[in-house]
Amino acid sequence: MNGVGPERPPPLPYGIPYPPSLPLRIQDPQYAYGGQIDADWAKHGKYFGARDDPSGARGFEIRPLNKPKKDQSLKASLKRKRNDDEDDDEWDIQYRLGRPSESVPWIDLVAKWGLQVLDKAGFLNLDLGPPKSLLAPQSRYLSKRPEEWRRDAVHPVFRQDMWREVDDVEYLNLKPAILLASALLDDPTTMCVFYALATPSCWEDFIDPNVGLCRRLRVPDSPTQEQQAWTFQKICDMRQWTCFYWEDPDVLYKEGALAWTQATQGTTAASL
Amino acid sequence: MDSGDTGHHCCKPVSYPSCLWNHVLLRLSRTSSDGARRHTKHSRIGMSRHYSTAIQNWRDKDTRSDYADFFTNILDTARTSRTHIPPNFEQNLDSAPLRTIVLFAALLVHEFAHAFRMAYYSNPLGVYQDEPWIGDSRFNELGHALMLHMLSSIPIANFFKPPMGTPTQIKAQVDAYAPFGIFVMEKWQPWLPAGNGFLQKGIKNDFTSPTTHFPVPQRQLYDYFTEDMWTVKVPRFGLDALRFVKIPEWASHRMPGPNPVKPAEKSTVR
Repeated sequence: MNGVGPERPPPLPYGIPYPPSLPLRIQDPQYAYGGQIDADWAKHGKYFGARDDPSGARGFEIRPLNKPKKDQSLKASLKRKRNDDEDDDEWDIQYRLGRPSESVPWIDLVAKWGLQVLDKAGFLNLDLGPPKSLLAPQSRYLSKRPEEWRRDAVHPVFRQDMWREVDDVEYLNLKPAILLASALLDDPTTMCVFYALATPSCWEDFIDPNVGLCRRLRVPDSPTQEQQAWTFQKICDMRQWTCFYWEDPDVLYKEGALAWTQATQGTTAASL
Repeated sequence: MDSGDTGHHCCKPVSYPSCLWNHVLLRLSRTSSDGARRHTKHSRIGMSRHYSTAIQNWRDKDTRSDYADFFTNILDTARTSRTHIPPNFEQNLDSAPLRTIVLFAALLVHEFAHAFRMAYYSNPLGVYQDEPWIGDSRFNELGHALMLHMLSSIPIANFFKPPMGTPTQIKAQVDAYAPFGIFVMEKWQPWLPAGNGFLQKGIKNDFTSPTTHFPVPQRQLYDYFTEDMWTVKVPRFGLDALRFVKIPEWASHRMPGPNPVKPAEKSTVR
């Protein structure tokens, strides 16, 4: 069956197809008879379109939307006729590359590939149906937690009593995210960083020529069972030191932040 | 500047040249703390309600149209031309909230790290930056450093810059709904001069290397919410089972421009 035809490259993760291969240099789209220029795919993507690779070997192939103007001289057109290559790259475009709107700046990835190619390749929405087990996440450390914290996979610091003025429905909405966050936080790999943060012997000074005296964490690779238990307790103790609440959207906008953590000197978390 | 307040100004907005917009100038999160120093500090973590609303609207999508409406409206806000919209972008929404869920989870752990640092990491005389460095990052942003440690990169919703006059909540909604997918990156604030919490050390490597973004396969997020992930893969491989896959073929690389001290100028995307 095989042995002839294009060689298939190794598959990419998660069934993602290969992207269209974009040339480093392109015909200058601004000038009909211009020379080759270095491509800037955030700018030049919009001059290209793609289709599924008919050979199936790679995911996509591309072509310029407008073919470069051909040499219109009689000699050149006779030659093209002889070679019968008048319309060899006139296939229909299925996907537009480049930024989806002219007047609005987009993040590089979208400005480069365009939404249609990203979608087709599997980076947007899927046809797999709704997710199966939204409440499945549970941490590796769950079974090692002290008895009192074992029954609920939610980490003690993310329990509902830690959320101020967040109602039952909102907490329920966020439950899958809170379980995933719990599994991430309550993992020995993550706990290494928290162990180092709370352990002065893991703090190492260095001097940067510009910033001055600085500190770096030496994060242990494989903390002992005792260190993990100690770290879990330190994290648990945060129940008295912090809480979560919905920030006013205008405040976050002003801060230019997705979320933020404020020190609240001299107040107890319970009174907030 | 009050010497006891280093962390505060290190996190203040740096003024960005406008051409830097595409380089993720958004600061993922901020830490603030007041000038007085004690060894341990209480804190509170302010989150955005849009994440809850997004999931609520998704759960109700068979009885209300708010979820699909968001996808339709955001295309209008971004002035997207019909020729560039993927088929079924506004209908095929069964797995779309997974992005909201994963981003919120990452944000929660990120912010919690700041709170934990405030409680346990002491800097009594304020001689250091508020946060310690981890690894060889130039900027001392603990939440991002933790994300790199756990998941190998920082996840962010793909976004556009809302046009002038757009309601202020649009950007926050895009961050939460992630209608255009998620990308991950390792350098969160590339190509900034030393100072303000940015080390001199490593500046050469930073200024001469591209800023790279990778799109996250939706299938990877889908697999986070399967029994197999939590009963087989995570117990066996730990967080490696959850690390974001970075497919080099699909990356966008913003290449530094010709000016060695201002790499953003005339930078181009490959």
